[in-house]
Amino acid sequence: MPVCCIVASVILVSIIALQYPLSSSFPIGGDAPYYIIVSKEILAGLSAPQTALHSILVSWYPLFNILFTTTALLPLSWADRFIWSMAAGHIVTALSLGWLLYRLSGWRAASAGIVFWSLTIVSITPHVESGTVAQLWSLAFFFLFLERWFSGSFYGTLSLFILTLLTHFLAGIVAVTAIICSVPLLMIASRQSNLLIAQKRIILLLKTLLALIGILGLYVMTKRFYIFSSLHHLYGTFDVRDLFYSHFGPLLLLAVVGVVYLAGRREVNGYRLSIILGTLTATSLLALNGQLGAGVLAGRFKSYFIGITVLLAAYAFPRLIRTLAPSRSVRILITVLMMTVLWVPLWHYNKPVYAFYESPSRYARLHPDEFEALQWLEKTDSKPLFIMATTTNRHTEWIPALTKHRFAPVTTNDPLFQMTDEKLSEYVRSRHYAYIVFFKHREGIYPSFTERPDLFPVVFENRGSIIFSAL
Amino acid sequence: MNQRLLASSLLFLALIASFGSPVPSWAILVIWGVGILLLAWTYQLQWLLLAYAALISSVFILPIARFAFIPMPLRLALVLVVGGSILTGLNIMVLKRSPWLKS
Repeated sequence: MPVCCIVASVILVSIIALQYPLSSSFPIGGDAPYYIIVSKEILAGLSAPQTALHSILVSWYPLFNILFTTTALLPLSWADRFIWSMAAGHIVTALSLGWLLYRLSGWRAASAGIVFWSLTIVSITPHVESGTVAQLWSLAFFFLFLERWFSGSFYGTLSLFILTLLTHFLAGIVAVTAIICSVPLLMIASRQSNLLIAQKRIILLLKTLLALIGILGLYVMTKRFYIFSSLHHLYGTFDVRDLFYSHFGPLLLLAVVGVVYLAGRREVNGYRLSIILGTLTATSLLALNGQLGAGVLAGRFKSYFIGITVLLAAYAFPRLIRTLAPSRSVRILITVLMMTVLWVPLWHYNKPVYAFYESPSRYARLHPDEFEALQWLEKTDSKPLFIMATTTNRHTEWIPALTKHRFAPVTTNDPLFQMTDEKLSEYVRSRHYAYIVFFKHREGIYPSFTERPDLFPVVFENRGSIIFSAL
Repeated sequence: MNQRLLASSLLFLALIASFGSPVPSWAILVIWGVGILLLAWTYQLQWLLLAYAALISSVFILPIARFAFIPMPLRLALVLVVGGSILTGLNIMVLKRSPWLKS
Protein backbone atom coordinates (compact mmCIF):
# COMPACT_ATOMS: atom_id res chain seq x y z
CA MET A 1 0.00 0.00 0.00
CA PRO A 2 2.65 2.65 0.91
CA VAL A 3 4.70 1.92 -2.22
CA CYS A 4 1.57 2.00 -4.43
CA CYS A 5 0.51 5.38 -2.99
CA ILE A 6 3.94 6.93 -3.42
CA VAL A 7 4.27 5.59 -6.99
CA ALA A 8 0.76 6.86 -7.86
CA SER A 9 1.64 10.31 -6.44
CA VAL A 10 4.87 10.47 -8.43
CA ILE A 11 2.98 9.53 -11.61
CA LEU A 12 0.41 12.28 -10.97
CA VAL A 13 3.01 15.00 -10.36
CA SER A 14 5.05 13.78 -13.34
CA ILE A 15 2.06 14.02 -15.68
CA ILE A 16 1.47 17.65 -14.67
CA ALA A 17 5.20 18.49 -14.86
CA LEU A 18 5.60 16.84 -18.28
CA GLN A 19 2.74 18.89 -19.69
CA TYR A 20 5.25 21.75 -20.02
CA PRO A 21 7.84 20.13 -22.31
CA LEU A 22 5.15 18.22 -24.20
CA SER A 23 3.04 21.34 -24.83
CA SER A 24 5.73 23.97 -25.31
CA SER A 25 8.18 25.04 -27.94
CA PHE A 26 11.17 27.15 -26.92
CA PRO A 27 10.60 29.94 -24.44
CA ILE A 28 11.31 33.50 -25.47
CA GLY A 29 14.75 34.98 -24.70
CA GLY A 30 15.78 36.17 -21.27
CA ASP A 31 17.24 33.83 -18.71
CA ALA A 32 16.78 30.64 -20.78
CA PRO A 33 19.51 31.59 -23.29
CA TYR A 34 21.65 32.89 -20.42
CA TYR A 35 21.71 29.46 -18.70
CA ILE A 36 22.64 27.79 -22.00
CA ILE A 37 25.41 30.32 -22.74
CA VAL A 38 26.96 29.75 -19.30
CA SER A 39 26.84 25.96 -19.80
CA LYS A 40 28.50 26.31 -23.20
CA GLU A 41 31.21 28.46 -21.59
CA ILE A 42 31.76 25.81 -18.93
CA LEU A 43 32.02 23.09 -21.58
CA ALA A 44 34.38 25.21 -23.67
CA GLY A 45 36.42 25.75 -20.54
CA LEU A 46 37.15 22.04 -20.15
CA SER A 47 40.18 22.67 -22.36
CA ALA A 48 40.90 26.00 -20.61
CA PRO A 49 39.74 25.52 -16.99
CA GLN A 50 40.19 29.19 -16.06
CA THR A 51 37.33 30.20 -18.41
CA ALA A 52 35.02 27.59 -16.91
CA LEU A 53 36.00 28.60 -13.39
CA HIS A 54 35.33 32.26 -14.15
CA SER A 55 31.85 31.45 -15.57
CA ILE A 56 31.02 29.51 -12.41
CA LEU A 57 32.42 32.11 -10.02
CA VAL A 58 30.52 35.06 -11.49
CA SER A 59 27.22 33.15 -11.60
CA TRP A 60 24.44 33.69 -9.05
CA TYR A 61 23.54 30.00 -9.41
CA PRO A 62 26.84 28.10 -9.77
CA LEU A 63 25.55 24.70 -8.68
CA PHE A 64 22.59 24.82 -11.04
CA ASN A 65 24.89 25.89 -13.89
CA ILE A 66 27.06 22.83 -13.25
CA LEU A 67 24.01 20.53 -13.01
CA PHE A 68 22.55 21.95 -16.21
CA THR A 69 25.89 21.55 -18.01
CA THR A 70 25.75 17.81 -17.35
CA THR A 71 22.64 17.65 -19.58
CA ALA A 72 25.08 18.03 -22.50
CA LEU A 73 25.33 14.25 -22.27
CA LEU A 74 21.71 13.97 -23.46
CA PRO A 75 21.07 13.66 -27.20
CA LEU A 76 18.88 16.80 -27.32
CA SER A 77 19.26 20.40 -28.45
CA TRP A 78 20.21 22.95 -25.77
CA ALA A 79 16.73 24.50 -25.86
CA ASP A 80 15.11 21.07 -25.40
CA ARG A 81 17.48 20.25 -22.56
CA PHE A 82 16.44 23.50 -20.92
CA ILE A 83 12.68 22.86 -21.18
CA TRP A 84 13.06 19.30 -19.89
CA SER A 85 15.18 20.56 -16.99
CA MET A 86 12.19 22.70 -15.90
CA ALA A 87 9.97 19.59 -15.81
CA ALA A 88 12.68 17.58 -14.06
CA GLY A 89 13.04 20.41 -11.52
CA HIS A 90 9.38 20.10 -10.54
CA ILE A 91 9.58 16.32 -10.21
CA VAL A 92 12.82 16.47 -8.17
CA THR A 93 11.33 19.18 -5.92
CA ALA A 94 8.20 17.10 -5.36
CA LEU A 95 10.34 14.05 -4.53
CA SER A 96 12.53 15.95 -2.06
CA LEU A 97 9.41 17.42 -0.42
CA GLY A 98 7.99 13.89 -0.27
CA TRP A 99 11.20 12.60 1.31
CA LEU A 100 11.09 15.39 3.91
CA LEU A 101 7.46 14.58 4.71
CA TYR A 102 8.20 10.86 4.83
CA ARG A 103 10.92 11.46 7.42
CA LEU A 104 8.68 13.86 9.34
CA SER A 105 5.42 12.01 9.26
CA GLY A 106 5.37 8.85 7.14
CA TRP A 107 4.27 7.74 3.69
CA ARG A 108 0.72 9.12 3.83
CA ALA A 109 1.89 12.72 4.27
CA ALA A 110 4.69 12.14 1.73
CA SER A 111 2.20 10.92 -0.84
CA ALA A 112 -0.14 13.86 -0.20
CA GLY A 113 2.77 16.33 -0.40
CA ILE A 114 3.89 15.01 -3.78
CA VAL A 115 0.39 15.34 -5.24
CA PHE A 116 -0.15 18.75 -3.65
CA TRP A 117 3.06 20.02 -5.26
CA SER A 118 1.51 19.40 -8.67
CA LEU A 119 -1.04 22.11 -7.81
CA THR A 120 1.72 24.71 -7.63
CA ILE A 121 3.33 24.05 -11.01
CA VAL A 122 1.24 26.44 -13.10
CA SER A 123 0.31 29.97 -11.97
CA ILE A 124 0.98 29.45 -8.22
CA THR A 125 4.78 29.59 -8.09
CA PRO A 126 6.63 31.59 -10.75
CA HIS A 127 8.29 28.38 -11.98
CA VAL A 128 6.17 27.68 -15.03
CA GLU A 129 8.46 29.73 -17.21
CA SER A 130 12.08 29.67 -18.06
CA GLY A 131 13.83 32.31 -16.01
CA THR A 132 13.36 30.74 -12.62
CA VAL A 133 14.66 27.22 -13.21
CA ALA A 134 17.64 27.69 -10.86
CA GLN A 135 15.31 28.82 -8.10
CA LEU A 136 13.04 25.84 -8.73
CA TRP A 137 15.97 23.45 -8.28
CA SER A 138 17.01 25.40 -5.15
CA LEU A 139 13.67 24.40 -3.59
CA ALA A 140 14.67 20.74 -3.90
CA PHE A 141 17.94 21.43 -2.08
CA PHE A 142 16.13 23.59 0.48
CA PHE A 143 13.77 20.70 1.37
CA LEU A 144 16.72 18.30 1.59
CA PHE A 145 18.50 20.80 3.85
CA LEU A 146 15.42 20.86 6.12
CA GLU A 147 15.33 17.05 6.12
CA ARG A 148 18.97 16.78 7.23
CA TRP A 149 18.35 19.49 9.83
CA PHE A 150 15.28 17.61 11.13
CA SER A 151 17.28 14.39 11.25
CA GLY A 152 20.03 15.96 13.33
CA SER A 153 22.78 15.17 10.85
CA PHE A 154 25.66 17.58 11.51
CA TYR A 155 27.60 17.18 8.25
CA GLY A 156 24.41 16.63 6.22
CA THR A 157 22.95 19.93 7.48
CA LEU A 158 26.16 21.82 6.81
CA SER A 159 26.71 20.39 3.32
CA LEU A 160 23.05 20.77 2.25
CA PHE A 161 23.08 24.37 3.54
CA ILE A 162 26.09 25.11 1.32
CA LEU A 163 24.51 23.32 -1.67
CA THR A 164 21.25 25.26 -1.17
CA LEU A 165 23.16 28.53 -1.07
CA LEU A 166 25.10 27.60 -4.22
CA THR A 167 21.98 26.59 -6.16
CA HIS A 168 20.31 29.97 -5.69
CA PHE A 169 21.27 32.86 -3.43
CA LEU A 170 17.60 33.48 -2.49
CA ALA A 171 17.34 29.95 -1.11
CA GLY A 172 20.45 30.75 0.94
CA ILE A 173 18.79 33.91 2.30
CA VAL A 174 15.67 31.90 3.23
CA ALA A 175 17.79 29.21 4.90
CA VAL A 176 19.75 31.81 6.92
CA THR A 177 16.53 33.61 7.95
CA ALA A 178 15.00 30.25 8.94
CA ILE A 179 18.07 29.55 11.10
CA ILE A 180 17.81 33.01 12.72
CA CYS A 181 14.11 32.47 13.50
CA SER A 182 14.66 28.90 14.74
CA VAL A 183 17.68 29.35 17.01
CA PRO A 184 15.78 31.03 19.91
CA LEU A 185 13.26 28.18 19.81
CA LEU A 186 15.97 25.54 19.54
CA MET A 187 17.72 27.03 22.58
CA ILE A 188 14.54 26.51 24.59
CA ALA A 189 14.13 22.98 23.20
CA SER A 190 17.78 22.17 23.95
CA ARG A 191 17.15 22.61 27.68
CA GLN A 192 15.32 19.31 27.49
CA SER A 193 17.55 16.38 28.34
CA ASN A 194 15.91 14.11 25.75
CA LEU A 195 17.48 16.00 22.88
CA LEU A 196 20.03 13.93 20.97
CA ILE A 197 23.72 14.84 21.16
CA ALA A 198 23.79 15.31 17.38
CA GLN A 199 20.87 17.74 17.62
CA LYS A 200 22.70 19.71 20.33
CA ARG A 201 25.78 19.83 18.09
CA ILE A 202 23.67 21.27 15.29
CA ILE A 203 22.31 23.96 17.59
CA LEU A 204 25.93 24.87 18.44
CA LEU A 205 26.76 24.93 14.72
CA LEU A 206 23.82 27.23 14.03
CA LYS A 207 24.82 29.57 16.86
CA THR A 208 28.32 29.80 15.38
CA LEU A 209 26.86 30.39 11.93
CA LEU A 210 24.63 33.14 13.32
CA ALA A 211 27.60 34.82 15.01
CA LEU A 212 29.49 34.79 11.68
CA ILE A 213 26.44 36.18 9.86
CA GLY A 214 26.15 38.89 12.53
CA ILE A 215 29.81 39.91 12.05
CA LEU A 216 29.36 39.91 8.25
CA GLY A 217 26.16 41.96 8.62
CA LEU A 218 27.91 44.54 10.80
CA TYR A 219 30.76 44.79 8.29
CA VAL A 220 28.34 45.32 5.39
CA MET A 221 26.27 47.86 7.34
CA THR A 222 29.32 49.92 8.29
CA LYS A 223 31.68 49.52 5.34
CA ARG A 224 29.60 48.36 2.37
CA PHE A 225 26.21 50.02 2.90
CA TYR A 226 26.03 50.93 -0.81
CA ILE A 227 25.09 47.28 -1.51
CA PHE A 228 21.69 47.99 0.03
CA SER A 229 21.11 51.01 -2.19
CA SER A 230 20.82 48.66 -5.19
CA LEU A 231 17.96 46.75 -3.56
CA HIS A 232 15.29 49.08 -4.94
CA HIS A 233 15.89 47.42 -8.32
CA LEU A 234 14.63 44.20 -6.78
CA TYR A 235 11.10 45.41 -6.08
CA GLY A 236 8.50 42.65 -6.19
CA THR A 237 5.06 42.07 -4.77
CA PHE A 238 3.05 39.13 -3.61
CA ASP A 239 -0.44 39.38 -2.14
CA VAL A 240 -1.26 36.25 -0.18
CA ARG A 241 -4.97 36.86 -0.83
CA ASP A 242 -4.35 36.02 -4.50
CA LEU A 243 -3.76 32.42 -3.44
CA PHE A 244 -7.32 32.24 -2.10
CA TYR A 245 -8.57 33.07 -5.56
CA SER A 246 -6.71 30.11 -7.07
CA HIS A 247 -6.88 26.32 -6.88
CA PHE A 248 -4.27 26.59 -4.11
CA GLY A 249 -6.82 28.17 -1.69
CA PRO A 250 -7.87 24.87 0.00
CA LEU A 251 -4.23 24.09 0.80
CA LEU A 252 -3.87 27.40 2.65
CA LEU A 253 -6.82 26.43 4.85
CA LEU A 254 -5.33 22.97 5.35
CA ALA A 255 -1.88 24.37 6.22
CA VAL A 256 -3.29 26.16 9.29
CA VAL A 257 -4.78 22.85 10.41
CA GLY A 258 -1.28 21.40 10.00
CA VAL A 259 0.20 24.02 12.33
CA VAL A 260 -2.40 23.21 15.01
CA TYR A 261 -1.73 19.46 14.67
CA LEU A 262 2.03 20.02 14.90
CA ALA A 263 1.75 22.20 17.98
CA GLY A 264 -0.90 20.17 19.75
CA ARG A 265 0.10 16.55 19.21
CA ARG A 266 3.01 14.61 20.60
CA GLU A 267 4.14 13.18 17.25
CA VAL A 268 6.72 15.86 16.49
CA ASN A 269 9.35 16.61 19.11
CA GLY A 270 10.35 20.10 20.29
CA TYR A 271 13.48 20.11 18.15
CA ARG A 272 11.56 19.53 14.91
CA LEU A 273 8.68 21.79 15.97
CA SER A 274 11.21 24.61 16.52
CA ILE A 275 12.60 24.18 13.02
CA ILE A 276 9.14 24.09 11.41
CA LEU A 277 7.90 27.17 13.29
CA GLY A 278 11.14 29.07 12.62
CA THR A 279 11.06 28.18 8.91
CA LEU A 280 7.37 29.09 8.65
CA THR A 281 8.09 32.47 10.28
CA ALA A 282 11.05 33.15 7.98
CA THR A 283 9.29 32.16 4.75
CA SER A 284 6.12 34.09 5.71
CA LEU A 285 7.99 37.30 6.53
CA LEU A 286 10.14 37.16 3.40
CA ALA A 287 7.18 36.35 1.12
CA LEU A 288 4.93 38.97 2.72
CA ASN A 289 7.59 41.68 2.98
CA GLY A 290 5.88 43.51 0.10
CA GLN A 291 2.54 43.40 1.85
CA LEU A 292 4.23 44.72 4.98
CA GLY A 293 5.62 47.70 3.10
CA ALA A 294 9.11 46.70 1.96
CA GLY A 295 8.75 44.78 -1.32
CA VAL A 296 12.18 43.21 -1.81
CA LEU A 297 11.86 40.25 -4.20
CA ALA A 298 8.56 39.24 -2.61
CA GLY A 299 7.39 37.55 -5.82
CA ARG A 300 10.44 35.29 -5.74
CA PHE A 301 10.37 34.59 -2.00
CA LYS A 302 6.79 33.33 -2.26
CA SER A 303 8.01 29.97 -3.67
CA TYR A 304 9.52 29.01 -0.31
CA PHE A 305 6.36 30.11 1.53
CA ILE A 306 4.28 27.99 -0.84
CA GLY A 307 6.65 25.06 -0.29
CA ILE A 308 6.18 25.25 3.49
CA THR A 309 2.42 25.66 3.03
CA VAL A 310 2.34 22.43 0.98
CA LEU A 311 4.41 20.72 3.70
CA LEU A 312 1.94 21.73 6.43
CA ALA A 313 -1.13 20.91 4.33
CA ALA A 314 0.27 17.47 3.49
CA TYR A 315 1.02 16.88 7.17
CA ALA A 316 -2.59 17.77 8.10
CA PHE A 317 -4.42 15.93 5.34
CA PRO A 318 -4.01 12.26 6.43
CA ARG A 319 -4.65 13.17 10.08
CA LEU A 320 -7.86 15.00 9.25
CA ILE A 321 -9.12 12.10 7.14
CA ARG A 322 -8.14 9.60 9.86
CA THR A 323 -10.13 11.47 12.50
CA LEU A 324 -13.19 11.57 10.27
CA ALA A 325 -13.16 8.04 8.93
CA PRO A 326 -11.88 5.22 11.16
CA SER A 327 -12.61 2.71 8.36
CA ARG A 328 -9.66 2.19 6.02
CA SER A 329 -11.77 1.65 2.90
CA VAL A 330 -13.73 4.86 3.52
CA ARG A 331 -10.45 6.75 3.98
CA ILE A 332 -9.16 5.41 0.67
CA LEU A 333 -12.41 6.38 -1.05
CA ILE A 334 -12.34 9.93 0.37
CA THR A 335 -8.68 10.37 -0.55
CA VAL A 336 -9.11 9.11 -4.12
CA LEU A 337 -12.19 11.29 -4.63
CA MET A 338 -10.48 14.39 -3.25
CA MET A 339 -7.30 13.90 -5.25
CA THR A 340 -9.40 13.39 -8.40
CA VAL A 341 -11.39 16.56 -7.68
CA LEU A 342 -8.14 18.49 -7.23
CA TRP A 343 -6.00 16.95 -9.94
CA VAL A 344 -8.21 16.47 -13.02
CA PRO A 345 -9.39 20.13 -13.31
CA LEU A 346 -5.76 21.18 -12.87
CA TRP A 347 -4.70 19.05 -15.81
CA HIS A 348 -7.41 20.65 -17.97
CA TYR A 349 -6.64 24.15 -16.66
CA ASN A 350 -2.99 23.94 -17.75
CA LYS A 351 -3.81 23.17 -21.38
CA PRO A 352 -5.19 26.63 -22.35
CA VAL A 353 -2.38 28.29 -20.36
CA TYR A 354 0.28 26.62 -22.51
CA ALA A 355 -1.83 27.09 -25.65
CA PHE A 356 -2.01 30.82 -24.89
CA TYR A 357 1.79 31.06 -24.83
CA GLU A 358 2.16 28.96 -27.99
CA SER A 359 -0.26 30.98 -30.12
CA PRO A 360 1.67 32.31 -33.16
CA SER A 361 0.15 35.77 -32.77
CA ARG A 362 1.67 36.17 -29.31
CA TYR A 363 5.17 37.24 -28.45
CA ALA A 364 5.89 34.63 -25.82
CA ARG A 365 7.80 31.88 -27.59
CA LEU A 366 10.61 31.47 -30.09
CA HIS A 367 8.45 30.66 -33.12
CA PRO A 368 9.47 28.18 -35.85
CA ASP A 369 10.42 30.90 -38.36
CA GLU A 370 12.95 32.47 -36.00
CA PHE A 371 14.22 29.06 -34.94
CA GLU A 372 14.74 28.07 -38.57
CA ALA A 373 16.85 31.21 -39.15
CA LEU A 374 19.00 30.40 -36.11
CA GLN A 375 19.47 26.83 -37.33
CA TRP A 376 20.60 28.17 -40.70
CA LEU A 377 23.16 30.42 -38.95
CA GLU A 378 24.44 27.48 -36.91
CA LYS A 379 24.96 25.32 -39.99
CA THR A 380 26.27 27.94 -42.37
CA ASP A 381 29.79 28.50 -41.09
CA SER A 382 32.16 26.36 -39.10
CA LYS A 383 33.94 29.22 -37.32
CA PRO A 384 32.35 31.77 -34.91
CA LEU A 385 31.34 35.04 -36.58
CA PHE A 386 29.71 38.28 -35.46
CA ILE A 387 25.95 38.37 -36.09
CA MET A 388 24.38 41.80 -36.00
CA ALA A 389 20.77 42.10 -34.81
CA THR A 390 18.76 44.75 -33.06
CA THR A 391 17.71 44.60 -29.44
CA THR A 392 14.11 45.50 -30.30
CA ASN A 393 13.03 41.88 -29.93
CA ARG A 394 13.99 39.11 -27.53
CA HIS A 395 14.49 36.41 -30.17
CA THR A 396 17.99 37.75 -30.82
CA GLU A 397 19.04 36.68 -27.30
CA TRP A 398 18.99 33.10 -28.61
CA ILE A 399 21.77 33.78 -31.16
CA PRO A 400 24.71 32.96 -28.83
CA ALA A 401 22.75 30.11 -27.19
CA LEU A 402 21.62 28.21 -30.28
CA THR A 403 24.49 29.03 -32.62
CA LYS A 404 28.26 29.02 -32.31
CA HIS A 405 28.33 32.70 -33.33
CA ARG A 406 28.70 35.89 -31.33
CA PHE A 407 25.76 38.24 -30.98
CA ALA A 408 26.53 41.87 -31.84
CA PRO A 409 23.51 43.74 -30.45
CA VAL A 410 22.65 47.19 -31.81
CA THR A 411 19.95 49.58 -30.73
CA THR A 412 17.75 51.49 -33.15
CA ASN A 413 19.75 54.62 -32.17
CA ASP A 414 22.93 53.12 -33.60
CA PRO A 415 24.56 55.41 -36.22
CA LEU A 416 24.31 52.70 -38.88
CA PHE A 417 20.56 53.32 -39.13
CA GLN A 418 21.35 56.81 -40.44
CA MET A 419 23.67 55.50 -43.17
CA THR A 420 23.08 54.28 -46.71
CA ASP A 421 24.92 52.53 -49.56
CA GLU A 422 28.73 52.30 -49.42
CA LYS A 423 28.98 54.22 -46.18
CA LEU A 424 26.76 51.67 -44.50
CA SER A 425 28.70 48.82 -46.07
CA GLU A 426 32.02 50.24 -44.84
CA TYR A 427 30.61 50.75 -41.36
CA VAL A 428 29.25 47.19 -41.16
CA ARG A 429 32.49 45.67 -42.41
CA SER A 430 34.60 47.86 -40.11
CA ARG A 431 32.75 46.25 -37.22
CA HIS A 432 33.37 42.76 -38.66
CA TYR A 433 29.67 41.88 -38.82
CA ALA A 434 29.29 38.75 -40.97
CA TYR A 435 25.49 38.56 -41.11
CA ILE A 436 22.67 40.98 -40.34
CA VAL A 437 19.47 39.41 -39.01
CA PHE A 438 15.97 40.93 -38.74
CA PHE A 439 13.11 39.06 -37.08
CA LYS A 440 10.18 40.44 -39.03
CA HIS A 441 7.36 39.62 -36.62
CA ARG A 442 8.68 42.20 -34.16
CA GLU A 443 10.63 44.73 -36.24
CA GLY A 444 10.83 46.32 -39.64
CA ILE A 445 13.75 45.76 -42.03
CA TYR A 446 16.02 48.75 -42.47
CA PRO A 447 15.45 49.65 -46.17
CA SER A 448 19.11 50.44 -46.87
CA PHE A 449 19.87 46.72 -46.61
CA THR A 450 17.14 45.63 -49.06
CA GLU A 451 17.91 48.40 -51.56
CA ARG A 452 21.47 47.23 -52.22
CA PRO A 453 21.46 43.46 -52.83
CA ASP A 454 24.89 43.85 -54.41
CA LEU A 455 26.30 45.02 -51.04
CA PHE A 456 24.02 42.99 -48.75
CA PRO A 457 22.72 39.86 -50.53
CA VAL A 458 19.83 38.02 -48.87
CA VAL A 459 21.16 34.59 -47.93
CA PHE A 460 18.12 33.34 -45.98
CA GLU A 461 14.50 34.41 -45.74
CA ASN A 462 11.22 33.02 -44.44
CA ARG A 463 7.98 34.55 -43.16
CA GLY A 464 9.48 35.59 -39.84
CA SER A 465 13.12 36.37 -40.53
CA ILE A 466 15.61 37.63 -43.06
CA ILE A 467 19.41 37.34 -43.06
CA PHE A 468 21.73 39.59 -45.10
CA SER A 469 25.32 38.68 -45.74
CA ALA A 470 28.08 41.22 -45.18
CA LEU A 471 30.93 38.85 -45.95
CA MET B 1 -13.06 13.26 21.28
CA ASN B 2 -16.49 14.51 20.16
CA GLN B 3 -15.13 18.03 20.01
CA ARG B 4 -12.24 16.88 17.84
CA LEU B 5 -14.61 14.99 15.55
CA LEU B 6 -16.88 18.03 15.25
CA ALA B 7 -13.87 20.25 14.51
CA SER B 8 -12.57 17.83 11.88
CA SER B 9 -16.02 17.59 10.28
CA LEU B 10 -16.30 21.38 10.02
CA LEU B 11 -12.78 21.66 8.63
CA PHE B 12 -13.46 18.93 6.10
CA LEU B 13 -16.72 20.60 5.08
CA ALA B 14 -14.94 23.92 4.59
CA LEU B 15 -12.20 22.17 2.62
CA ILE B 16 -14.65 20.43 0.27
CA ALA B 17 -16.64 23.66 -0.17
CA SER B 18 -13.47 25.60 -0.97
CA PHE B 19 -12.68 23.19 -3.84
CA GLY B 20 -15.72 24.35 -5.73
CA SER B 21 -15.75 27.98 -4.68
CA PRO B 22 -14.07 30.43 -7.04
CA VAL B 23 -13.70 32.98 -4.24
CA PRO B 24 -13.25 32.51 -0.49
CA SER B 25 -16.83 33.10 0.57
CA TRP B 26 -17.61 34.26 4.09
CA ALA B 27 -19.65 31.13 4.76
CA ILE B 28 -16.64 28.90 4.06
CA LEU B 29 -14.33 31.05 6.15
CA VAL B 30 -16.78 31.08 9.07
CA ILE B 31 -17.17 27.26 8.99
CA TRP B 32 -13.41 26.87 8.72
CA GLY B 33 -12.82 29.47 11.48
CA VAL B 34 -15.14 27.69 13.90
CA GLY B 35 -13.55 24.34 13.01
CA ILE B 36 -9.98 25.49 13.52
CA LEU B 37 -10.87 27.22 16.78
CA LEU B 38 -12.52 24.05 18.07
CA LEU B 39 -9.51 21.99 17.02
CA ALA B 40 -7.12 24.40 18.74
CA TRP B 41 -9.31 24.23 21.81
CA THR B 42 -8.84 20.48 22.05
CA TYR B 43 -5.09 21.15 22.40
CA GLN B 44 -5.54 24.24 24.63
CA LEU B 45 -4.09 26.43 21.90
CA GLN B 46 -7.13 28.63 21.25
CA TRP B 47 -5.65 31.88 22.68
CA LEU B 48 -2.43 31.45 20.78
CA LEU B 49 -4.37 30.77 17.58
CA LEU B 50 -6.38 33.96 18.14
CA ALA B 51 -3.14 35.87 18.75
CA TYR B 52 -1.72 34.58 15.45
CA ALA B 53 -4.99 35.45 13.69
CA ALA B 54 -4.89 38.99 15.11
CA LEU B 55 -1.30 39.36 13.97
CA ILE B 56 -2.04 38.10 10.47
CA SER B 57 -5.07 40.38 10.23
CA SER B 58 -2.94 43.35 11.24
CA VAL B 59 -0.76 42.72 8.17
CA PHE B 60 -3.67 43.94 6.06
CA ILE B 61 -4.55 46.84 8.36
CA LEU B 62 -1.18 48.11 9.63
CA PRO B 63 1.67 47.52 7.22
CA ILE B 64 4.45 48.04 9.73
CA ALA B 65 6.99 49.31 7.27
CA ARG B 66 4.93 51.24 4.74
CA PHE B 67 6.56 54.60 5.29
CA ALA B 68 7.89 56.25 2.16
CA PHE B 69 10.68 58.11 3.97
CA ILE B 70 12.35 54.86 5.08
CA PRO B 71 14.72 53.39 2.45
CA MET B 72 13.63 50.00 1.13
CA PRO B 73 16.49 47.97 2.66
CA LEU B 74 15.69 49.35 6.11
CA ARG B 75 12.01 48.61 5.56
CA LEU B 76 12.92 44.97 4.89
CA ALA B 77 15.09 44.96 8.03
CA LEU B 78 12.17 46.48 9.96
CA VAL B 79 9.82 43.76 8.68
CA LEU B 80 12.24 41.00 9.62
CA VAL B 81 13.20 42.40 13.04
CA VAL B 82 9.77 43.58 14.25
CA GLY B 83 7.73 40.84 12.56
CA GLY B 84 10.31 38.19 13.42
CA SER B 85 10.41 39.22 17.09
CA ILE B 86 6.63 39.17 17.50
CA LEU B 87 6.24 35.84 15.70
CA THR B 88 9.17 34.29 17.55
CA GLY B 89 7.57 35.37 20.83
CA LEU B 90 4.36 33.60 19.84
CA ASN B 91 6.33 30.58 18.59
CA ILE B 92 8.08 30.32 21.97
CA MET B 93 4.69 30.27 23.68
CA VAL B 94 3.52 27.51 21.31
CA LEU B 95 6.70 25.54 21.98
CA LYS B 96 6.32 25.87 25.75
CA ARG B 97 2.76 24.54 25.48
CA SER B 98 3.88 21.64 23.30
CA PRO B 99 3.04 18.29 24.93
CA TRP B 100 6.54 17.12 24.09
CA LEU B 101 8.15 19.93 26.08
CA LYS B 102 5.71 19.58 28.98
CA SER B 103 6.63 15.94 29.50
